[in-house]
Formats: sequence, structure tokens, C-alpha cells
Amino acid sequence: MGDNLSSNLTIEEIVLINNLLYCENLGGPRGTFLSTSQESRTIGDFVNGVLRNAAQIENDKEYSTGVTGAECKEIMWAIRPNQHLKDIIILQVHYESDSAGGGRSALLYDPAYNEAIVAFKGTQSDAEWIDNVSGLYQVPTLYQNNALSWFRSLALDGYDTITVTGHSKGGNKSKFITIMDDRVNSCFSFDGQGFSDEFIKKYALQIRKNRGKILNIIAESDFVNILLNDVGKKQFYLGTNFGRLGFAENHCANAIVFYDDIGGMSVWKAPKQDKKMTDLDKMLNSFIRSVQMSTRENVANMLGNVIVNAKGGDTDKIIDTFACERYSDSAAQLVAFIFRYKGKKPEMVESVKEILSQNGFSTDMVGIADFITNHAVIMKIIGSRPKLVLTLLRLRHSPESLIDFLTNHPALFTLVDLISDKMWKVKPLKYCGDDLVLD
Amino acid sequence: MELTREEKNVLSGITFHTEEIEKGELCEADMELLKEMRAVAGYFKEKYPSYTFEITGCEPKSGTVREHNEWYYKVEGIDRASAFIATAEEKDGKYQIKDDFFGEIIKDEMAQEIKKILTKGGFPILQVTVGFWESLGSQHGEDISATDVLKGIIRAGNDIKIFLDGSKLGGKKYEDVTGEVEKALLSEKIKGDVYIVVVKDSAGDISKDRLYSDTLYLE
Repeated sequence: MGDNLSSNLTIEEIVLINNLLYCENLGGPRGTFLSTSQESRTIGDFVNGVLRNAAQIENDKEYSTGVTGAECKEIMWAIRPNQHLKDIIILQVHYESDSAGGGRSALLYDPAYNEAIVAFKGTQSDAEWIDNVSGLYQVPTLYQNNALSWFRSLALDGYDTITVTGHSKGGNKSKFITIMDDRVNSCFSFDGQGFSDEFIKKYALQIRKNRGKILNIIAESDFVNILLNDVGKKQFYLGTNFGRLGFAENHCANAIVFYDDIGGMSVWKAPKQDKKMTDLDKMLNSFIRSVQMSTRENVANMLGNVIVNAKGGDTDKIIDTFACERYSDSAAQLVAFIFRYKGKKPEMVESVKEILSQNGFSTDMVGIADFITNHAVIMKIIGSRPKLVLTLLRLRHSPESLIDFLTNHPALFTLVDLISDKMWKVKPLKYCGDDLVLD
Repeated sequence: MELTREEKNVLSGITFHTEEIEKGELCEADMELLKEMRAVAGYFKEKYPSYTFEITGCEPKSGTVREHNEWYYKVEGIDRASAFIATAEEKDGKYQIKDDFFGEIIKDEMAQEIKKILTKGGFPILQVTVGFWESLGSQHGEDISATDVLKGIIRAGNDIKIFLDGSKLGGKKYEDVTGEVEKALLSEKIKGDVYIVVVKDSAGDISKDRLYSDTLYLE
């Protein structure tokens, strides 16, 4: 059972359900869990249907970001011996169509305990990424409201228990619904981001009333749950190995799933959060609190642009975002804050080094970069004298790739100049970095 | 550049530069999406001239493991909580577009045909629904034949769900009933996945009061 919550699902079952939401086109269209054609089938029917086509599932191919065919099959095999989970019926699958679309979710039914389970998939589209960052300045966001509207459209009378769950953005939607709708009995947010200070203050009454129903299931090194203020109890879980995406795989829904020799799955509680993530959480909170509400939308959109372009692997567009007239000020504000913050908290540099190593990057230059970025004067010189910098780099036989990169992106020097100006003004420790917790 | 309200809504929903889109000042990526959106809109007009479509959103493939963009759409007069989805992929300068709307046109006729077959066989039917696993392209228009789809001449990935009244099965084993349903459908050359659910009785809820379920694959 899920801790003190009234759901009849175990944490393992909750984690498996959240993994199913990401199963898409496994061996063909029948292998998409969130397909309206799955309505009325049981989870067991879905799993059997997928395994029937197991030969068509390519082990090395990624079927959702960071999750390969072989990993998806592991999930299926882990579900197979669990009769309780297999008997759960998929009642309704929903594709959000309002506000540019993107959110996907399902209403499930556990006949053994007459329990309704409403499950939300994580960020599905660019439109949802826009919504994610709008959580910094909008209370509530469009997609939080869309999720609540759909939830309220469901016929939920007659169930003994109503449980909501979701991974990532789906976790955030689950928490939002639990805060706003008193009918929810249990909420399991899996690596879901939190809420802004403004949200916490606005809905303080509702949060106090319903936060006891929320359990945050968090991979110890997950980097999404640290965004904004969490609501509810937190339980950290040990993470497994990294794949193609390196450190980024800490946010995959299967990152906390361990298997035994015969395919059985388990999750293991971690004593606490990875220190890197705790440090990063505090820095992000401090930064967001340092940005005035009037400019927060611009900062949020800048971050969103960077995330969407990074997701598409487009480095040039990321640089364009940093350097363009609209966002350069916000980008400089963020980078200047990070530089000044790490100056005051040098342990952040060690965290960055560790993350780089886990992604296979060389950390040889981190020390120099740290030294330079701790000094606004040096930054000013670099920013205002691009030719000199490039000449010095060539004389020192610096990597050609670095010289080419800087030559091709001259706007970066202007940005560095702007960052150095901002560094004088930033007060990195003025705002507290702890999550805002109501009494 | 002139954009319709629908185009502005979709494009500004998936980018961060709403102001430029409102003014019709599109970047290269927006232009590409607009071109594709217009191709999808044109495809709908040509394929289903009797219906009116509204494209409501897009999920670009960029940054995903998909090879196509997905376009969310609504159809005038059809009340559905979930969005319909069309897929578009550019190959050799041409768009390959597929949609899931054809199913709306033929699903009721197909369900009626299945009911007819099962009624003839004396099965106590509570409900029959038909869905599809596949999306279809422009080769099949709004005059698509329900019979051809049902018999697998047009391959749409038929997904047939049959709900039977368990109180009227005369004590037969559910596995035997499933076998008889299979025989009846095969004799009429029906193709597709058939999901059979036995419900307690005619007053029973098809989810809460199910006694048995099984899947047949008629290939």
C-alpha cells in the first residue's frame, strides 16, 4: 500500500502504471498504451498484446525519450506476474485538444478495490513545455486548468477511492488536481515539478487541506522535481544505471526500477536526495525569487526556448536565444546569478564536474572556467575583446572545436560583456533557497 | 504574411514568439510548420469535402523519437472530448499525411454489421463498438467502404469489442462461447482484433460487472 494514503496500489504498481503511459508504438500501434483503442481492455490485455508482437520490438531503439525497446519489454515482463495490476481496466484515454493540444491521460479502474485511478503522462509537446515555464509567472497555468477540467468531466461517483498519479508534468497536474478537488483520496506525483511562491500563497487554504494526500515519489538524482516548491510528503528512491542520455536519464520513469534475475521489479528507498540536486534546488529557488514578477515571463520564455531547442538538439538556436535582443538581458541575468552563486557556494562547481563526468565529458577545463567566471573583470575583458581572446586561444593551442564555435557565434562575446555588467549587481544570497512550506 | 486565426492559435501555442506570429513575421521553423499545417488543412478539404475541420494543435517531432509531426484537430458537429490526430511526414519534398477520421464515418455501420452476424448466431449482445489501430492516407476518401474495411480488403487495423450478457449464455463455458463467436465472424470473412467481454447481466456495468474477457485475432 502507498504509505499512509488510502490507495490500494503499491508504490511499485504506481511506478509501473506511470511507465506504461510512455509506451508508444511498441511493435506497432497496438503497443501504444494511451490509445483510445485500448479503452475497455485491461492492463493485462495490453501487456499480452505487446508481448505477442515482442519480436517486432527492436531492443536498441528508443521508444520514448531515453527508454529502449529492451527496457520497455522489461516493464511488460515485470507486470506479467502481477494479477492485481493486470486486472485494472483502461476506461478512458484522453488527448487534450484545447490550447494547442498535447496533454495525454487515462482513467483506469481497479475492480478489486473499486478504485478510480487517473493518470497523467509527462510533458507531451512543445505546447506543454511552454506551459511548464509559464508556471513561473502564471497561477494556475492553462494546462493545469485543462487537466482539472477533464478530471471534473469524469463520472467519478460510486468509487470507494479516487487516486491521481503522473510522472513529470503529469505529477504536477496530479498535485494540482489534488489541491483543487477535495474528492481525491491519494496522489502519487512521480518526479513532478512544484509550484511558484505565488501559487503557494494563493492556494494556501486548499494546500493545507489536501497536502496530506500527496506523496512525491522522487528519483534521488531527478532534476525536474526540484523546480519550484513541492507540496506533500517526499520519498526519494535509488536510481539505476545511465543510458544514451547520461545524467538526463535520471528523469526517465524507469530510472528507479530494479530487476532481479527472473525479471521481478522492485524500487528501493534512498536515505535522502542526491546532494547535487539539493544544492541545485536551492540555487534555482534563490534565482527565481531574485527575478521581479514583471520580468519573470521573459526569463521563463528564455528558459523555455532553451529547453525546446536543447530537446531538438539545435545548439545554434540555443545560442541565438541567449544572444537575441528579446532574451539576452534575461539570459545574462541568469548566467550572472549562477556565476556569482557558485562563487559563494563553491560546492556547486563540484556538482557540475560530477554531472559532466557522468555524461562522459572532460572536466579538465572546469577549474579555469570556474576561475574566469568568478571574476567580472576578466569576463568584461573577454566580452569586449573577442579578437584578442581568439588569438590567445590559438596561441595556446586550444581545441579547434572551441575556437570554431566561438568564431561562429560572435554574439556570445556581447553576452559575456552583458553578464559581466550584471555580475556587479547580483546579490546571490539575498533570497532564501529553501522550498516555501506552509505552517 | 497573412495568417488565419486558426493558424495563429496553433503556431503561437507551440512557440515562445507570440507577438511575431500575431504580426505574421515567421521564422524559418514557423514557416515550415505553417506550410505543413496548410498542407494538412488542404488534405482534409480534399479527402472529406462534406466535413469542416479545425486544426487545434501540433506536436512537432523535433526532440522526440517520432519521425512525423502530429496535428490535433476537431470536426464540426462531432462532439468528442479527445482530439483526433493526423500525422504528417515530409519525404522527397512531398507530405505523407494520414488521419484517424475515416473511422468516424464507418464505425457505426461496421458495428451494425457485426451485431447482425452475432444476432443471427443467437449471441446475447449488450454492445458492439468498433475502433481502428491504423491511420489512413488520401487513397481512401469519405466514401470509404465499411464492408471492405470489415473484411480486411482495406487494412485499417480493425478493433472490434463485443460485450455479451453472461446471464443469457445458458451456462456455457466462456471459452466455448468465444470459439463460437470466432467461428461466426470467420464465416463472414471478418478481419481484425476481437475483444470479447462477458458482463454479469444486461443491467451490469461493462467495466465493473465483467466476468470474463479474451482477445481473438482474425487475420
